[in-house]
Amino acid sequence: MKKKLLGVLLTAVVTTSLLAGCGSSEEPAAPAAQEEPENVEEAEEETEAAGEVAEPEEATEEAATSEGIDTSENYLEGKKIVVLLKSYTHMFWVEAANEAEMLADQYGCEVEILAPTVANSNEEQIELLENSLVSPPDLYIIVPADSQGIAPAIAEINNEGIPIVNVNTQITDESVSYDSYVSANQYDLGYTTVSTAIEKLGEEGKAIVIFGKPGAQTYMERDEGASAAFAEHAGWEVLDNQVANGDRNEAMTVMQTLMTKYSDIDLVYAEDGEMALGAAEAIKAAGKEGEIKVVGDNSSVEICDAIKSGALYMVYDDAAWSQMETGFKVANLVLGGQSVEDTYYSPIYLVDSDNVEEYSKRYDE
Amino acid sequence: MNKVKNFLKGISGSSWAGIALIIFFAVAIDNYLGSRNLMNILRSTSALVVVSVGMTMAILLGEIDMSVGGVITISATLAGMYMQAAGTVTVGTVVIAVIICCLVGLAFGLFNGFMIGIKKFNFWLVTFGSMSISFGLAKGVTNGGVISGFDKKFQWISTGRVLGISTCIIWAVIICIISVLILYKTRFGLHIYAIGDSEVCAANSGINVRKTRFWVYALSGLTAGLAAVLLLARTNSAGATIGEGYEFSAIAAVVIGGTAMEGGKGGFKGTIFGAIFISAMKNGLQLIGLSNYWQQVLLGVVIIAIILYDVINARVRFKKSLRRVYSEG
Amino acid sequence: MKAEKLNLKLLFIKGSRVVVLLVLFIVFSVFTENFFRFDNWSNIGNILLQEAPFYMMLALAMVIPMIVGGLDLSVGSNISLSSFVCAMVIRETENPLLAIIAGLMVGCLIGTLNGYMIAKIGVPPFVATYSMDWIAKGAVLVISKGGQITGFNSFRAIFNSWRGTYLLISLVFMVLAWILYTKTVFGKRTYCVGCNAEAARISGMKSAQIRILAYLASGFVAAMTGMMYISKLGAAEPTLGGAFTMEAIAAALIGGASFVGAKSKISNALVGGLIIVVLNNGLIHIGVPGVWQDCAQGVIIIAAILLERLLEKMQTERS
Repeated sequence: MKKKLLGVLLTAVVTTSLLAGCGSSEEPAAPAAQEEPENVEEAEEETEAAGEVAEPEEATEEAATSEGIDTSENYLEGKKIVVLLKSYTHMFWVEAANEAEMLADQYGCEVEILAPTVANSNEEQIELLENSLVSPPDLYIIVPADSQGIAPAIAEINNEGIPIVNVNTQITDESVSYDSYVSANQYDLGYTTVSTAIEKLGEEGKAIVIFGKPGAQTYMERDEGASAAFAEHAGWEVLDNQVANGDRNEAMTVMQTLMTKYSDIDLVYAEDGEMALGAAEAIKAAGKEGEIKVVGDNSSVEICDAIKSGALYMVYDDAAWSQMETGFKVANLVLGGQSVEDTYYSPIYLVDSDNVEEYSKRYDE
Repeated sequence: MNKVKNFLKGISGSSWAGIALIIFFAVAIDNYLGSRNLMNILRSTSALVVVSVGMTMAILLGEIDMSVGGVITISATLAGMYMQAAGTVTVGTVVIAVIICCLVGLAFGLFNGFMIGIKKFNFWLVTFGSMSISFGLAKGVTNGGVISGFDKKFQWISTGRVLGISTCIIWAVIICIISVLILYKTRFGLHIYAIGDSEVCAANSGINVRKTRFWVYALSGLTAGLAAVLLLARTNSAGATIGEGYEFSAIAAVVIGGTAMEGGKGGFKGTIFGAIFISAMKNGLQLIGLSNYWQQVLLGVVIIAIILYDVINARVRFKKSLRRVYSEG
Repeated sequence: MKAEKLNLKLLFIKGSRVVVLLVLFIVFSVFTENFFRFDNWSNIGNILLQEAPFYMMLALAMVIPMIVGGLDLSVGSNISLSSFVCAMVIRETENPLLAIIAGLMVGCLIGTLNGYMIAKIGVPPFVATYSMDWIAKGAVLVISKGGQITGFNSFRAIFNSWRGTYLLISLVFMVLAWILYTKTVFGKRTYCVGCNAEAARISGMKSAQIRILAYLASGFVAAMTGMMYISKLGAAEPTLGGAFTMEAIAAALIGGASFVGAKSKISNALVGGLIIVVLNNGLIHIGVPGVWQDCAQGVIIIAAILLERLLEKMQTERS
């Protein structure tokens, strides 16, 4: 009896889908179907050119900056935007999500924020995007966890003709397209953080690099930038590079172990804020505060407090809020039928003991 | 009236939940029953159902194979690495990649089967160890990176369309049919049920318990490899974490589908339903627009509710049958 | 004379996991510079004071349900939920005692719910605790809205004022658990229930109650671990504990515990926790990149069971 009903149910589901599938006239997802919505071009040349050091609080010349965007008209009002993030538990993305909601209020549009339950899961992101196409929005703001892996879902969105603003992690698959790429330059971020730290600390020393989540594009680019910066200063030796998955606890454990392996460490570069705080905690527990300087990327209220108290030496903030703000500005233009650049770089901000008071005021609102 | 009552009582918890779910979501969400959404659900189920099929066999024995998630990961990773190293991709390359995937899965399955079936080590320890090794290998050989962006020819395995249906669904259906045949039409399948019911009785009736166990784990590994192919082709990416959680989802699918964890009862029909149910739930919860956080809570609540219903129902019926026996005797 | 010799061998074989621990320790000490030095105990200190206590507690939270033939997959989310609630209470009331009680209560609640579903209703432990894991994970995200709580320094001072506090707490828990489960009637009854719950019930033991208490204990230990973690880290995050369940299982299994009822010992948690910590620490010292740690753990598990089988064979051959 049970089995019969199960069978009936199962058949119903499968049959419905079979019939429905046969009935619709969806085009097969043809290999390499190149769409031509407005302004399609890969931003690969820009990425190369932006390998130079970006001065703090300015962006490179080649790509447009967020300041230059015309915001006089509001084309977003009444529209629906789907924002896809990489996770919704990391402080960076929580900030981004909050910013997106605030901006949606400002512009008067509806925003739906999606993120995978397992952080950085490409599979979930693809599913989320495919599901969202059931009630398609007017525009997508997408932060892929995997620059190439996300391609199948992007292809589907291209098929529907919905515009895409790509934020933070670039979509690098050549067979799909998007309207514009907005980010802080991650390679730059790593490079600048390390270079500035070296500038302040001197030409010689020993350093540890704490890596983020394996396979995540942003960490890999920051790591490349950091390695390039270290390579330029012969007096600096990178003692070790260990993985901490963007997790504060893991970073703390790793740091504690490394401190027993290497007795002489001057600098720790942690590839994001959570890990920087974890490393700082380990150093405090060992009583070596001040001896070992911790630098990192991202910022938050807690990070600013840590800088004020001296636990962190400095950070470069790639400002989730700034990237989202720029993303919305570009989205505005896209939906208004205006022309957009291929790439926009949102600035990175240095936060150290000199300007932390000023900078942290941002969080008071 | 009695007949209707009995019919209603005979419906398992998962069936009730399935009906309620479909009705609720269909009403609350636009286009829920539309072809696009149903396709989405079935597509995301494809890899899960294939791996759950292997897991069903292990659970029917009264054991579990914790390594399937890791095996999916390492199989996909090695196949992905091969394709990247191969440069230009031809149909031949695709075929070889698929074979590599399946062989790696089978290799782990054979290892598990040997250790558990033949050498009689504890299944938890062996499969957990295999899981750590396979996940770890995937992490190590990719140095923590991802390998992504595969040729469209390979992607076609999951994202192509035949008669309007995604290819991954078709492969999953084929694999399910083959598995059903194996489980219900061969002696091997019978032996699995017998061992799950009572290993001692099975051994006494001349069943080669060791061999059966060996093949169950080998097949479980093979299905993991097959699932890896589908997953790799659909998500276009391989790396240290792509299979994470699949072992738990597979077990959940099997149990929701009515196969008991002590073994000896249940089967693939339930598993297939369980797998579709889980995907449909995740899909519906997302489309309803519930905050991400609540989605997780509800997923747990629904799973537990289904099992509670089934368990309580079974106990009530057992007690009732006892009462009948004693009152009639 | 002969009787004494045999006893030593038996000890050796019974303690095969301790053998694994010693082997790892010796290998790492010999082949690295700073893992262990007679003149510099900073690494050993690091391991014992900062890392081992946590893994031992995690293993303990897993071993206790294993004694009654079950498992607890919700350990990780239990840790994050109870520690987050604890942090919330501190934030609102600045009262550390209240916060600790609140955290422990949450952990016990989760454990009791698990135990009730498993023992009274009959849900398989795997499914019950798996669902609870999702529910608790979601719950902590809902109450935290993805954010974190920091800045509870007075609370941290309770644990951090002396370096050995974490070790002390974990050892106290270990000893108490050991006494409870091996030396008391209750403990012996627990083992009976783990061996055969139905037989135990028929012989008059309150089988269901004992099982519920086992899960309650696990939840209690998990909650305590959670509070230790937030003291160590200085922050309560909803993502804490994501990987802990698997680590707990690994530690318990490596330490010799078994999912077959009544075959696990409390000492398994101690040994297992130490092995994991020594392994992870030693690998970094030897220079094995962190990405290979998981693989190494798996290899050790397989090696440990092979070793155990080998030793058993040697024993039976001799007799």
